Amino acid sequence: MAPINKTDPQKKSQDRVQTLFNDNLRLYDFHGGIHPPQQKTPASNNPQQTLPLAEKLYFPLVTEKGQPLKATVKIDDRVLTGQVLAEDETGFIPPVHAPASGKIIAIEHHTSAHSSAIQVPMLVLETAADQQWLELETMSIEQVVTTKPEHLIQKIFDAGIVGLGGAAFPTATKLSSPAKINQLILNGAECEPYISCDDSLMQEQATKVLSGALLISHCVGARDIVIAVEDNKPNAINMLKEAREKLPFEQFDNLTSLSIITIPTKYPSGGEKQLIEIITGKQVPKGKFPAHLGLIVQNVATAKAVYDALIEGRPLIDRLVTLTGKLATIPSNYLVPFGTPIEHLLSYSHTKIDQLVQVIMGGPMMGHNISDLKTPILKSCNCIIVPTEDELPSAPAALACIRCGLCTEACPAQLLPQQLYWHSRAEEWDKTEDYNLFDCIECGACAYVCPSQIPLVDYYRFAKKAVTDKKAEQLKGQTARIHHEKKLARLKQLEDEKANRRKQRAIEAQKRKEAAALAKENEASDNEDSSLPIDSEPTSKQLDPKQQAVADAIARVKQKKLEKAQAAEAKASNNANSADINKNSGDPE
Amino acid sequence: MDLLIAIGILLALGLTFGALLGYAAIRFKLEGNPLVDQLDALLPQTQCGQCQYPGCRPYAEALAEGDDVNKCVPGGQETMEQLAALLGVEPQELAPENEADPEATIVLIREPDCIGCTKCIQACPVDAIVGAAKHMHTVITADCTGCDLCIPVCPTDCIEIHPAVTGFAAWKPQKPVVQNPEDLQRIPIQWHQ
Amino acid sequence: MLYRTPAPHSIGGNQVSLMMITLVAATLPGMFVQTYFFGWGVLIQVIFASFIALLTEAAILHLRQRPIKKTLFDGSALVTGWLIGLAIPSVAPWWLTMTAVIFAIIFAKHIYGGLGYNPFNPAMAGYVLVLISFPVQMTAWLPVSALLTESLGFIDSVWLIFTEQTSNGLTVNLLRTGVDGFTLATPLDTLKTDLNNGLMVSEILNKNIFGSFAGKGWEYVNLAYLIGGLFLLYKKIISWQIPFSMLITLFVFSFFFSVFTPEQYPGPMLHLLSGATMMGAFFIATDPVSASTTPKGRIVYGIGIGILVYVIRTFGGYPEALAFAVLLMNLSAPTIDHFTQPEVYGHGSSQEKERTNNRGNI
Repeated sequence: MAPINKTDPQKKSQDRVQTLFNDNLRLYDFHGGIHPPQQKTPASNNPQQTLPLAEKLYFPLVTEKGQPLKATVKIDDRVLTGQVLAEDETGFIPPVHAPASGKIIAIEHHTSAHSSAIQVPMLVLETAADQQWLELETMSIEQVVTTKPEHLIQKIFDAGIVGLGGAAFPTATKLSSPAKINQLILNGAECEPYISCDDSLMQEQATKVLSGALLISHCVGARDIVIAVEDNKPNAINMLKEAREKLPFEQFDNLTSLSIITIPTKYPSGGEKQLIEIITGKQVPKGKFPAHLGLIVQNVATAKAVYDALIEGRPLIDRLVTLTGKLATIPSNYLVPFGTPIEHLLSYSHTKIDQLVQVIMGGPMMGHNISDLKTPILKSCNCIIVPTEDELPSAPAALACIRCGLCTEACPAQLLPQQLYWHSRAEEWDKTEDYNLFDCIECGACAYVCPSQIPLVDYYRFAKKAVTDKKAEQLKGQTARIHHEKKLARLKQLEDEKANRRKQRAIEAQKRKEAAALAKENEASDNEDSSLPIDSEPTSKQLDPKQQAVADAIARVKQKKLEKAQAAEAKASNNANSADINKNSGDPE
Repeated sequence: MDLLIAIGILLALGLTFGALLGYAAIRFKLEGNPLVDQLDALLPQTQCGQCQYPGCRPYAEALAEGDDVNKCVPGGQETMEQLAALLGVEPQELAPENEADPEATIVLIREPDCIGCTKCIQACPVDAIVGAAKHMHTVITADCTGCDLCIPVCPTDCIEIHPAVTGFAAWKPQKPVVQNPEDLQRIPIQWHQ
Repeated sequence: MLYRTPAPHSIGGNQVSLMMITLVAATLPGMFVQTYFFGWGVLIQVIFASFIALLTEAAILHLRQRPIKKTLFDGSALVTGWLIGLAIPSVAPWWLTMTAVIFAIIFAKHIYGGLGYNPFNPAMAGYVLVLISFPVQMTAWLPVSALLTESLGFIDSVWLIFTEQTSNGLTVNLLRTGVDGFTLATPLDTLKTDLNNGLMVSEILNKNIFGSFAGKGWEYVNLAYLIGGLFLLYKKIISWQIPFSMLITLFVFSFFFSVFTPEQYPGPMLHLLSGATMMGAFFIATDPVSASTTPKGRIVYGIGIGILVYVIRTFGGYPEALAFAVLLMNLSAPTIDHFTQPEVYGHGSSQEKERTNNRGNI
């Protein structure tokens, strides 16, 4: 660890360190929750393994939320490990890095990991035999703590770091919240059954996780760090506590506490909102972010990735993935380079591919089935489950809802799942919103406890999509109506203007006629002033000849213009106003 | 005397409530025709004119006057039912060719073929096409309602119909179906190894 | 072959049929105590009613072209029949039981769309139908066996139910006649009649049909149902809100009335341990389909039943009130649900409340 470069006596810093370790926080409880069988062993007991590089790696050029990514490499380019392969032009999604050296051989369509199993374009990277990293820019902790947080957050973005808990939200965006952050909560709950990658990470790389937490707290200015781990991971807690003794606290003057707390095992305690409620007793208000409460929640794996990015300069190119399920011959946590097809992981671990019934990406509660074994493992994938038929049996067909209310008791969002179900099924969209459909976190606790085996989450997903689409449609309809009304108004205005001009011309023609008649009369009566202008005004009589000439010229030009316009109108009466329309049609709405 | 008091009280009540009603009638007066607005809000606002009216609002006005509720093609069955419910009339059958629930579409101009005649620009009811005379035109896809009014006027047939949403956004989760109770809740995946 | 299944892929072990069977199992202590005190008739009624219920359910499912095997064994019809069998007088004629059960299954359940869609508790709807239509037979409860002048064996019970006479020609009315020549009614019925005749509570409670805390026999039957109910709570088949709020309300009302005018209103013990109070609180009012479903709503629902039971027993025309109270509250359940929605996560004012007592390091 870094040397103590303070003038304080060592004793004092020792005292401070002791006050930092405040592990007896009062804990709260959140509503509902369930206790499914854990199934974390044997994967969590087996040592971590590093998955060798697959022959080909696949990188979708569309994120799972649908944002397109732009490839920064071309076919036949040779890439080095850590080189950027694709980036988001809008600057929201962090870039994708090559986890291996090799050659880009194609951009092809392959099945995505998305529940729709739609085929999306993917960069295909053929890995080379000799691996070479890009030159990495390392930093010491001293350098990091003296760097401005904005630069660090940019580095985190450039390293491609997203939340590794499963949601894959860009970490840099989360860290650059304008609200004042007091507390950093490190999420090591890992509440979903089967998954043990965070457990394994905390056991084997506790120091990096904790250092990452310190760095994040420096980036956001948080004074308190709480690391929450469910009580079913005693080894992880011990390793964290051991590692905490040796952390370079003297570099982080502002830190007032670093607590490692044990929370009761209950699904979904690892949900961001639920974890916040457990630790602070507060609920994140609807429509607000945790930053509203001065909090920021990061997954432990994200913290480790931040450490790698800032200290070692290493971008996010791999992650720990739990491979488990009774069909997995060697269930364990594998360090998998991104882009690796699931097939490669399965065959490396000698999984019985011919016996597969279903393959679940993610946990058994919130994960989804994948339909193609070539689907690549990406940043959001924390677990691959290959269960036998009996291990995770398909639910029997749903029976009628008996309104038993078990779902209400289990719902961590305090919703009425049963009412949501009735209204989703009846497609009464406004009713679903009355019952706060969009507060549902799709944790599946309701469906888990349902004695009628109703696929509740499927109903909510269906309803959410339908409501979202409906709203988009309505918004589009409104915009279209406004545009249409504006167009009608504009056409009417043009029409009016045209009519006005016509009227004007008629008046002017009348005037000219009168003036000519008058002039003739004048000529007849008085021959002295022959240069009287046609549209003469009373004042023009006092003008000197020079000015008079100018006025004459202007009048002539006007006359000519009018004639020209008249001619043009006659020529193309059908599309006379096209030029005007062109000018106006781009008007922003 | 009692009789007079009773009459007096009733009179006073009548006057008070009459005044209240009169005040409310002025204070909360509704501008325009709210029924037309409500009908207009139900229509899809594609302004396609397939109902034989020049836009959605004229059709809404005609509906308020008692026109048939089954003329909106882009709205399909759902809009027809909503209109019928609002107007309190019996739902009417859609023309057979309009029965399928229409998928939202937009148009795109095959730009190399565009000669810049501006005809489509004039035809577009929602100003979703930009361009100048003798210059290439293009469609603002976010504003296009898929009314297809620009297609017949194009002299070079360079306007194509495309689905409005593609990719992940176009995917809809299936509504769970009520199955035979003997079945399991699972769907086989077409998968080629 | 790969499959896609709905999330969550892991399902808990809850099953409707299991819940229903547990419910039936939890009535066993009550049923046996009831049989001990009131004779074999209880068992015969329960078995007969359940049989008719399953038969009717199967017939209706067949008519409705629903899968019979799966739906029949969800246990709901069994529970309906079972509860009617327990609620009906042990010597009621067979056609009475059958009418109640058939009405419950067809009109209170399947007319509305079957399990899950019935607004009323089917068992109580069937019970109330026969209570209103055949008041004589429905109030013909035998006193506890110990008070009978003639003992009633199993064979005689069967005879009585199916032929309305025992093998040696005794009818229900003859059996109900006590040693003193008066017809013995249920404790609650006696209480009501005697109070109307101007007797005081203390005098009435001295009669031999009353036991140590409440009606003789009934007190133990109720205690047995209480035990069964607590078992259901322990198994989380029912939630605590409805039974507890109902019993507490009943207790509070009877307590206050009896404290102020003890001679006119009997105390809480009698109310809590007489008639169908415990069975109603734990097995009938908690019927999930027709009860309120929100946590707060369930408390309101239980309080409503408690009040109605007390009011009807004390001031109404019927000595036993549970069936009416449950049906009336069934009617109100949707409204109660509407007004007692729980506060959704992050919606409430609790944030502000929490902020005031937050910890020092925030």
